Amino acid sequence: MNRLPCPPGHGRHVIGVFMVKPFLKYLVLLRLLQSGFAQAVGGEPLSPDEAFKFKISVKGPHTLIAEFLPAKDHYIYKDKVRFAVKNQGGVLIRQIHMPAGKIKNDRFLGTMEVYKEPFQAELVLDRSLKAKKITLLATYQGCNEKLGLCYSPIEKSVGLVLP
Amino acid sequence: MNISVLCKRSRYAILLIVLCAGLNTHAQTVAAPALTFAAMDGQKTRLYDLRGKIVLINFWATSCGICLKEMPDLIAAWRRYRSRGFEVIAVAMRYDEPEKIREYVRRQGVPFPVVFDQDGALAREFGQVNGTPTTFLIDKSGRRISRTVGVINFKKLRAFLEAQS
Repeated sequence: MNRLPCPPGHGRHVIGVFMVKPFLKYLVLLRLLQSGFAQAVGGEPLSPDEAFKFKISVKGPHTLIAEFLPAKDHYIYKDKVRFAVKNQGGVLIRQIHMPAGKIKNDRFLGTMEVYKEPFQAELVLDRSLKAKKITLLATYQGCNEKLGLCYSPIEKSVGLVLP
Repeated sequence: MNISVLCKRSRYAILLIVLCAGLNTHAQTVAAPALTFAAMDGQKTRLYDLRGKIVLINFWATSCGICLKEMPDLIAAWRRYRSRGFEVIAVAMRYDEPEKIREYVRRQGVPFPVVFDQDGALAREFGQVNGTPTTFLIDKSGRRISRTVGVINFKKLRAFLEAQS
């Protein structure tokens, strides 16, 4: 089929075009919005477990080690890291040792201590040696710096057998 | 019909087909949940009653610095486009503290409804919102047309709202 060349100077008097144009504009903007009206600074956010990997291990009869691995461009707030023993049964957390974090000055939240690198928290337990099984509850919260996204607090419940 | 009209129409038709096809494949426009938002000041807003308006729903928290930074821009957008049918509802996450929310809303003079999602039901209804800010846009027919996780691009938002008027 022969294609006809389009002549220049299409008239603005064509009613059909007038009706279609605003709709097209709307569609174009809608497509832009559907890609999210987020700033084009990061990609899709990681899942909470990918963003902040967490592991807990038993170091000794009275010591637990909690390891946190924030992903690149993520950080964890020091004051949002919390631990509790759920089914106490003679086990208490006596002390929590955490390393110093980096100071983050937030215009709205003030000065905060955050961890951008992997870190460990040491939990010292008070326990009778008869108490063997515990459930440890860890809570922590952090953000993705690039996306400007703060995750909801993450709760992890871990069953442990003490030596 | 002359050639110029045919050409113009076919060009728009092709563009329309491409854009509409894109909409289908992405399937990102979904019906917004039928919800009632109970604001902290007692005001109730049914999403259904906002048909015919563009509604922005912003999940936020007083512990989220970015959210606090964005709120004045959201207020400004609401003030500018409200008369053209733009509504904003701010939903504070369940882990927030009501007193802190009230204090912030009072201090900032937030003029639109602010809801405390105490049991997390709204976050679930909107597909497990698990971070802030997360922002949804609902079109005039009540369909959810976008979900933004993280910082809002207000330039893009304003362009969209301008195109609505």
